[in-house]
Amino acid sequence: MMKKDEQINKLFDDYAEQLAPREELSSKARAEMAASDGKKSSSSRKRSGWLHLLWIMPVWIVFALSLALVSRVIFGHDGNGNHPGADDIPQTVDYYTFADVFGKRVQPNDANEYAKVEDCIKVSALKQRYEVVSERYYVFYAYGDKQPRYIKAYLALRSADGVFTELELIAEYDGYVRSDLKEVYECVSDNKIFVWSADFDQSGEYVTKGYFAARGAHFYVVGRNGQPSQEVCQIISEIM
Amino acid sequence: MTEQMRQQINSCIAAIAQGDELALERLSCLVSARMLSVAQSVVKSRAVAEEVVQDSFLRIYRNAGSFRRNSNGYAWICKITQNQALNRLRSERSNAAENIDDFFFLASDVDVAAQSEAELTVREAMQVLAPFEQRVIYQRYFMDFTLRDSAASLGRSLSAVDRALKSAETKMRNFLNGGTKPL
Repeated sequence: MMKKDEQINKLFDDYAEQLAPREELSSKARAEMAASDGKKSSSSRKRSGWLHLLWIMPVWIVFALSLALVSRVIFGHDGNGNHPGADDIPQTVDYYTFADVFGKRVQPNDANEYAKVEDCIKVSALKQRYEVVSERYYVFYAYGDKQPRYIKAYLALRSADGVFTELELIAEYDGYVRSDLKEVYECVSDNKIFVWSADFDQSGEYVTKGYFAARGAHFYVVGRNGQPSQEVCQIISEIM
Repeated sequence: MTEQMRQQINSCIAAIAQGDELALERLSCLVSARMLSVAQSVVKSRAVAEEVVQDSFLRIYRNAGSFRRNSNGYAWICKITQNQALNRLRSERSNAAENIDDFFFLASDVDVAAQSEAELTVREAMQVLAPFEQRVIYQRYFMDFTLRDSAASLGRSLSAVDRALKSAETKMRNFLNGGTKPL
């Protein structure tokens, strides 16, 4: 393939980077996907339910413990075994959809907006333990009251021994639940910390998906790493 | 577009083919803004472009199973989006307008006062190019098209696209290095 001019490439990359994601524009496809989910055979479904987790139970347990410790360190648990925000989760929540929110990218040098990110996701604590190779943050606001509903973060972390881990994290403020996450939220909100999936994806990457609540928010975490499962758990435990 | 991002996109497409709903969400976060820009390089209306992107995601979902894993998933998505936009134009009996400039004004969610330096620079740099050069360089650098992709898409020969691309690159480099300014 013909080589691209680096200067021009950077120009277009910079332009693309500042475009805010429009996740609601996939709502039709998501609806069709959700509607067709029941028609798929369980063997062909990626998320095939609880039976799927049984054979990876050991990983499940290790990662749950890791998440507990990660949340304690990064998200400010009080060290006494309590989750400060968990008991405060409202009994009633407002459900909303992609179409109800708009995203705004937040740069670390944008002090006012970045304070929301730092307040919710303890990035500085994370940076003490990992080299953050790349970081992207988006705050999603409701069109109606213009208040934030959730923060989305993409982080690429490198440990001291050079191993990369990608984290995708949704920190949703308590009292609000995006409707497509309702199923997960309702299944696990009583359990505080939970891993609902851990498996190799189609590209052979080991992907772990987890959930926990802390500090007035609830978190959906997806961890990706090319290493085998035990190493993934070990790397995540290094954050502690 | 980094190689890592390309791989992420390919992984998402493969996972979507297996019915992974979160992969669709992840993909939309990665490429929805870019798809909107591509759509708006063809259709003028932002509202129509948004519908085009919705329809494009549907096609991506329905055709994810036939996607060849080793090919460029991002370029595949851009082709789908561009074709959906062209189909929309045809269905509305409009001309395939040479309105590539429009996407700079419409695709971004930031308001005018908050337009980034990158956005303004791209807008200015594109103004030094002829319309065909704009289309070719946009396909090459924003949509990740190969020369063959562009030739097929634009109905021109490979050599014509190659000449236009080289000319556009030279003009853009000159502009970026403080040379030619748009009138």
